[in-house]
Amino acid sequence: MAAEAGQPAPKSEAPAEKKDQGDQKKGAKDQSKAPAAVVAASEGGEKKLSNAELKKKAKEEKAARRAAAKVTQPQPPASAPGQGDSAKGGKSKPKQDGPQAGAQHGKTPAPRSAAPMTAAAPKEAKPSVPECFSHLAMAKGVNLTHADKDVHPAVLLLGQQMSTMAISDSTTRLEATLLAFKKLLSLEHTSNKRLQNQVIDSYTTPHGTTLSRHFTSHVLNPQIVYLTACRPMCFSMGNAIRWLKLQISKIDIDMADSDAKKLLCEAIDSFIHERITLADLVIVNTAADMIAQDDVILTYAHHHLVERALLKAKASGKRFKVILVDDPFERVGLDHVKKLAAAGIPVAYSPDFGALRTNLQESTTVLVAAEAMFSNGAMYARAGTCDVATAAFDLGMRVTSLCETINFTERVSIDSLTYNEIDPERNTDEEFRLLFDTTRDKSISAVVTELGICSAKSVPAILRKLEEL
Amino acid sequence: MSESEAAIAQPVSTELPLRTQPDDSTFDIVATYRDLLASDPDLTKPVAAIESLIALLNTVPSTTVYETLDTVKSHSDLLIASVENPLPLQAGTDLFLQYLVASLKQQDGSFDAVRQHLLRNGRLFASRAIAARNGIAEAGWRFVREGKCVLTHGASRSVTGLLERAAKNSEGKFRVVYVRDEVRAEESDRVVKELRSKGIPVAEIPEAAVAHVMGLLRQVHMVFTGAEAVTQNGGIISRIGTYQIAKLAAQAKIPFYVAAETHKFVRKFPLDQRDIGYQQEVLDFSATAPSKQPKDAVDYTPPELISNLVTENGVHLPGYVFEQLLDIYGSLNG
Repeated sequence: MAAEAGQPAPKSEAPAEKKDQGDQKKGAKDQSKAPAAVVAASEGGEKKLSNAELKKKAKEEKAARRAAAKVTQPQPPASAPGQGDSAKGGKSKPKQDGPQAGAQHGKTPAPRSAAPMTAAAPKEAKPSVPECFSHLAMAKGVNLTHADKDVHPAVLLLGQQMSTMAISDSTTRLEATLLAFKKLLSLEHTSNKRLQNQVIDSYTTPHGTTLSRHFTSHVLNPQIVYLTACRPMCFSMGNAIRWLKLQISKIDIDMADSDAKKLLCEAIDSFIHERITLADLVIVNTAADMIAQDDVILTYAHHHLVERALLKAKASGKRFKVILVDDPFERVGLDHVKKLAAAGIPVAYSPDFGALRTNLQESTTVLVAAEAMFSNGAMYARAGTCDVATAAFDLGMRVTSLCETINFTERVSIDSLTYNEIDPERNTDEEFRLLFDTTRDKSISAVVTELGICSAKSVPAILRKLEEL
Repeated sequence: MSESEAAIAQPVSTELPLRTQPDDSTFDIVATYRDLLASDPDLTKPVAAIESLIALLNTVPSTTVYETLDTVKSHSDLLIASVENPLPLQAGTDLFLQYLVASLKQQDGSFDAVRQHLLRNGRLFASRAIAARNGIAEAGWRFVREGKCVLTHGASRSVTGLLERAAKNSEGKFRVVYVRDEVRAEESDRVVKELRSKGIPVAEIPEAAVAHVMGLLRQVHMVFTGAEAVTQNGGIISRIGTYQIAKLAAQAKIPFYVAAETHKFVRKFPLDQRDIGYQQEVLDFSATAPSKQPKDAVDYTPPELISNLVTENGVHLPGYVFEQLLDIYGSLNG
């Protein structure tokens, strides 16, 4: 029953790389192999070096990177044809080989290696998106050397992770963004001393102005611009940034800098706790409760909420089966299926939409997770979710979607083209792929949020409620 | 009553997570509830549950806020466990608990004031419920205009109230098709008699004739039914047979109206027929004996089939329920 095929083979690169960085990066997260290399390299200098020496060293490194980039420049199409144009300035070596190698070749061996092959021939031709789709954005990635000098290293790192899709789902991106912003405000100066000459230190308000007036425009905005350039923001990030700006503007202008920073850090912490950590917990518990004995649950690709809900239901002693239909373009379900099988849940794995209808006829419930919910009740989720939901609705089945309310947006969408993103790895002259699709409210039976279960039509009611809070 | 009490209280008290056993073991909430329901035909189940909880507060001595809330909670659980279909009662007990908490917040925790207020206005909820029924009639009677024909079934007091209000205005100028329930012939006779006494021409049809009658062009203009509970997505839990009438009405493009008081709104989200809040054995397979049917069986009518909810606050779309519940409870996790 359980899945076997398509092992992610070339994972082996990653650990090796990790090892030689291991001693250097301390604060950096471990998912962040490649971009960390750049930061870590600059960070890695010995403490004893004087400022002047450091400067010199940084210059040398920059030169070395440029040289390396020139060497590697002909290569980019091999890994990501879509990034050819943005890589003009030259990408540093480690960035090329890092998470991209892991993410692309690791997860989906077959389709990905095929695509670049065909695209490699007309290499220089810039993939053009037809006029009518020109409004769609794409994760491009911004070269580190091109980034605004005001961008904080933590944000630089995050931007790279986002552009390479190392961090891809909306809630994780949101959490990482907020944590990075917190570092902007962090009070620890000691560890950053050696970075002072090239990147901004944690923030101190200049004389003659106040934090509430200065921080947003001069410090926060460049970070946001950079992150947006790396990959278009998701709705939850938009919501959270609006919230953060509001909090900043509310700060009393007479408040001491350190107090204000502390206040903001605490606000961010509690925001993450309430809107993400606790929300996830409640959603997972509610969804697990909804699973009945002997259910057969069909789910699509992978989302951490669905995974946690299934594992939770299993742990609470329920007996049920899972049919996992994977995203044919990105086999994120493989690991998921293994985890479920390891937990003792009988899983059937289907690598694509072949036999979707048959699979649906054998199941009792469809459980998916949303990337965002529009206020007309439409669900914005991984491309393919709409197919599953519509087919399930057609068969009169329940379609349950899991979503934190931070992902709710007051915008309205009735199609999949108004808001979407182009898959940066599948964007050629002939064709491109979209990352998301929109499911109409009528094919969704219930949306599980931390405020409870609601119907898709009730999204505006929740948004109104959230505004009151 | 003592033996039924023992039968009910015994298994229940073992499985309920009671923090403290209620020390007022003399008070029998289940019996009180049943007495109330039997003595007053105007009382709906949620309101009867609220009234019994007020009666409970009457008997327990004034203690701390948390102890009282605890007592109310444990008795609510007892009461809910004593009936088959928990949803109508849950609507009442949840509402009462929320009312208690909210009024305690307003009064800055002065519990005695709240308690005194409740006891002094013991019939407050009941009278409000009756007022709500009149409100429904006022809000909805204009749907029933001259020359129209209304199809209804069951014995909802909201619906009969609404029809009577309409009859006051245009006596004999609209007609009613009543779907008889042969299992409850007595009840059907009573309702039909009541309607005829107000001068409303009534045609009785068997359940099997509903589709046919709806197919007779422009013979039926709308359907009105009541509900036992209105779920948070705007669907209804109601007498079995409602769902099929709603489906047939949707098929025939006949508007389907539900007359229900807002105190019937309950924090339950059924996804389909499997999910009505309790185990109901409608299917009784047997090769020899005749099948048994549950008494007071219900079904779930999803919001897509409901054109409007007629409440004392006016006529609303099914989505209204969610907003109201969110307003009252803040969150929807029970």
